[in-house]
Amino acid sequence: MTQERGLTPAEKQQVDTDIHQELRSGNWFVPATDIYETPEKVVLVMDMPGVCFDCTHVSIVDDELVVTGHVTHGEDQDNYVLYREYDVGHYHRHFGLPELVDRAKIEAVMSNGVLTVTLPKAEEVKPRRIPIKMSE
Amino acid sequence: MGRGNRWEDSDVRRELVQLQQEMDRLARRRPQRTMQRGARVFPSIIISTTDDKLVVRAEVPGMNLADFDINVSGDTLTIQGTRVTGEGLEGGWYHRRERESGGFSRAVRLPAAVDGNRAEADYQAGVLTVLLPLKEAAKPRTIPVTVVKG
Repeated sequence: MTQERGLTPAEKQQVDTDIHQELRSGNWFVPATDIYETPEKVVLVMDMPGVCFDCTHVSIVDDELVVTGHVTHGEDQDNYVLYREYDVGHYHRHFGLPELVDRAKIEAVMSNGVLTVTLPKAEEVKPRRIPIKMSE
Repeated sequence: MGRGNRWEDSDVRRELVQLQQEMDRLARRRPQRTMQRGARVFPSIIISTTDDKLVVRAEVPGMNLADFDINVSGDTLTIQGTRVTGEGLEGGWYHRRERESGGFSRAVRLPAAVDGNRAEADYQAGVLTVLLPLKEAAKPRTIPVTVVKG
């Protein structure tokens, strides 16, 4: 199924191009992610240290949520490294979007290197109480 | 007992050998960053240097600068704090938990003498940076050498 949702074919092409160009060089990591669900929403919380607010890209491509983050803080090139425990790099991860999510209402917030993507559930799948009528 | 039933020829043995090879292959594979999580020290650090200071960086996303307790005592730098995850989970349940959570304390022996009283810390985009000015004795010096023609 290649139905477009939210993005025009031109925009989708741009996203694909961006992703594939970026994937060619440098270090890329899969961000550590917590996923939780409440009756109203599904929330993804991703650790992307070194990535600033405007270097984060979240898009929906077909049935996937695609997250990309470019590192801007983390390493001064002119410093001489004495001891290294981690590598600095960009982040990229795909998530399959469940049917129950209302795609028009997805929101993303980047704060202190943590990206939080909130996926509200569609009205028809939210829990609800069914009123019971008294019989005659 | 026929030759076909000997242990050396059996399917069980072959499968065990295959399993062994598979385990060896997995063990040799370079660990992914997400696979390292859980059992490793937190936070990971990078120590680098410029001419007049040591720079210690640590990746601790989701904090504020005020949440860190940073101390320099002699040649040891200590970074402590508590990372809270799961805000907004109220009434919910996890599908996946990969992010470290809870209190951490990391002590590092610094590779050079620093002036702890003039240390500075900065926190941006989830990366903590501690700047530690080097003591005079630890700064790089240029010693003029006269070359004598022999």
